[in-house]
Amino acid sequence: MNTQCKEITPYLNRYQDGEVDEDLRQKIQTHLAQCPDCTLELQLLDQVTTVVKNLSEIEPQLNFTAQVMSQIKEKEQPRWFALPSLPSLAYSIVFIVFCILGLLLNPQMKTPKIEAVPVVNAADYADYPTLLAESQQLNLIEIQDKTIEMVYNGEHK
Amino acid sequence: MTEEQFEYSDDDIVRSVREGYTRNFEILIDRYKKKIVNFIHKMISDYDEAQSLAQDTFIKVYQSIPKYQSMDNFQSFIFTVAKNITLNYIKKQKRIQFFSSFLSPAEENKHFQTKDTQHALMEKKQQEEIISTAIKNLNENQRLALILKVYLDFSYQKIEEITGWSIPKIETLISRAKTNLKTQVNIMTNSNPKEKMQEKPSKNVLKRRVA
Ligand SMILES: [Zn+2]
Repeated sequence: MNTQCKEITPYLNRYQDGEVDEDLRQKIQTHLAQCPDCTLELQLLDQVTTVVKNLSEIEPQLNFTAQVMSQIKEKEQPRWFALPSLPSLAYSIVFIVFCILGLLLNPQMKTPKIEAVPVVNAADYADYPTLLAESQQLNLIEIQDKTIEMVYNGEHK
Repeated sequence: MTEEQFEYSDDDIVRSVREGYTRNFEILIDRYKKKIVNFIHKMISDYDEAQSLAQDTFIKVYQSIPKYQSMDNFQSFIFTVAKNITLNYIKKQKRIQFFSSFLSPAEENKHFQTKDTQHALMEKKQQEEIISTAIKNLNENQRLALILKVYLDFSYQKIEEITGWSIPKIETLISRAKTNLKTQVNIMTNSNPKEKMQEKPSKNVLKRRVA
């Protein structure tokens, strides 16, 4: 390898890629014409690129374009304006009706139970007979009396 | 130029798509699908994934049309999108491979050994398989640079637009890729069995892969 080879070799790749200016291209060509070493080196590079270029190609799938276009259309649909389908609309209405009914019925159903608990507290009614007499005097409703009695018995058995 | 030969430029079509003629995007798909599918296929060597990632590329390009600056560089634009999608896929696959390598570390070795023994009876298809394997074993930057230059015949400047790499870096990557492939190609073209035995290039390939 002579000094000119050392000068040329680093540019062989660029030369092969067609990425050297005209001056350098001519310089390299002149050198290649008289240097078997660099010519061989270039041939090796050519073999590589030929093999890569000749790798067999694959074809896009038959419906490639149609598939892409349909996916694009799908993504473009402004969903927030679209009406929901009939079954899901029916389900939504049924669901909403149940919610409203639940809200309306719930307080009425729970009211007696909720009120009974704070009123009846066993610790507060240790003196049951006096209390019973008082509550009878006060004309408290029967259901409260019965509850008080049950709690009292549970505590003092 | 006669009227029959007249073809709308990429930018003309992009403009029409932007104006609402969305069906014209089909022209761009038909114009580029083969190159995009093959570019991705050569990067990842997986037929089904190449088809699907190529479709993703066109969908992404369509969605990015409002952002695209018409400067007669639609080709760079579409290949940039394809490159990003492909490199993301490779990154994901590497993570999966990293974890699955704990489960079955011996599998790849076997694969390479069978290839070695087949050297004696190489037909074109087997040659191709070897060179594809060699390309697959390049690191992805070298592979990307090589495919853009050699397969797609892009200029360094175009590759710079697509990858964002400097021209010296591009040149180095291509040069290294070619050097790495030289050994493989050499074995295929000069069929001297003694040389083959001595060089065992697939072992080097394996070491590089591990490192
Ligand atoms: Zn020389």
